[in-house]
Amino acid sequence: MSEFQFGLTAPEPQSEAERLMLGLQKRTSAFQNEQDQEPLVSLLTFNLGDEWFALLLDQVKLVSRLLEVAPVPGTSRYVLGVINYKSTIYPLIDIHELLSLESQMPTRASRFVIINHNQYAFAILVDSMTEVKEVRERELEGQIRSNKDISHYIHSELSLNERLLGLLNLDAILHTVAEVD
Amino acid sequence: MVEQHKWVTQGAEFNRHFEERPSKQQVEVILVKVAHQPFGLLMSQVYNIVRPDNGEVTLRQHHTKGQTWREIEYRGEFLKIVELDRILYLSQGEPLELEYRQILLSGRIHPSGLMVEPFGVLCDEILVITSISTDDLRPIPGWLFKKRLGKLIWGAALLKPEVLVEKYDLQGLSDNVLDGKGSNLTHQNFPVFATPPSVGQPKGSTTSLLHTAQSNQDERRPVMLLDLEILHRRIYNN
Repeated sequence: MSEFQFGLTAPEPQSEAERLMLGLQKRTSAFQNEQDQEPLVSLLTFNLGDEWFALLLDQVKLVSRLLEVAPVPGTSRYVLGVINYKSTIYPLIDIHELLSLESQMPTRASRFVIINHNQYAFAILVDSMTEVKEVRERELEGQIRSNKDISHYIHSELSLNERLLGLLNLDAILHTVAEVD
Repeated sequence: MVEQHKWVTQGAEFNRHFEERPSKQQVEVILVKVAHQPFGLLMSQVYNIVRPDNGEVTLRQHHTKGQTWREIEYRGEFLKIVELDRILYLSQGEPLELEYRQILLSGRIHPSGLMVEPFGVLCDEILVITSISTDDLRPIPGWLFKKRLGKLIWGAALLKPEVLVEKYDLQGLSDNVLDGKGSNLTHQNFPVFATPPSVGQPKGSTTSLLHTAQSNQDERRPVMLLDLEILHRRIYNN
């Protein structure tokens, strides 16, 4: 006795298109699940000249308006001096030259980004802040397309909103600042 | 590598530690001007002040290569002097002008009470002698200048502007020190903009961390402190 006799309806034969659609839906769903499980990373983005750069939000202690800068003799040429923020002294680094960018005169949009990286606390001068972006961790492994001179100081490059965003390599920046007269 | 230069800034924890445990200890510091910048020296390392323009001092020996000091004759004695502007990379080897400058005498005190291994440091001007709470002293990360200056700068004192303004025009700070790369950007460009921002707030902030800090509430200025003992070791090689 066949099962059809018990009131069960046989599945209607699927068309080729329907089968393809079903397959696509399954793959989309799997992709979505994968995306949901992949951790997001928050990036603080800012401008240096016309270029767009970022730091991991976890590395950023705070963003400050411009403060008076006290000079420190004998430092590398990338160090502008030290700043006193709430009774703590932070070295201030200008990374424009490291990234082959022309130093900009500070404006009201300029900011000091105070960074805690490993055991180092210091500030960098940025020309303007943009926004916080959330990206998939995997996107941080992107290829670097910038020229070789500065690629050392960029951990990875992402394409967001049709703009290229460079994630700074703080280890390389600190290494150069500490070593170069 | 960076690892060699590790230095810990505890930031807020550091300040909290100082605030919760005020030391009430004070140190006496003499503030001097060198190449338009203020620097502090511990008074415990300074034994006398000499004004070269009173005719008692004459230059005896010029610099030789790799040597950090020159020799002068002071009251019939030869005295090694160090030009702070030169040793701090604040001058480009201009000829020594003793006139209108001041020499701080330092050295070591022998158990007999006499000063031995004396030397002088040449500065442009003496600003003020002041007492500073040890709570107002801060370390400076060594990786900033370890390569060129070693431990000559051992820290910074946070001083209220009034302390310096009394005898010193702050607007004249450092005309040329940090502009070694030939650009127009120096620390001087910043005070003008030390007002609350009206533009440039981060957009789309998802955390309060990124709200731009609006008030610093600490107007004190960091003044670098020099350790004369380091110069003594350089001069006498010990």
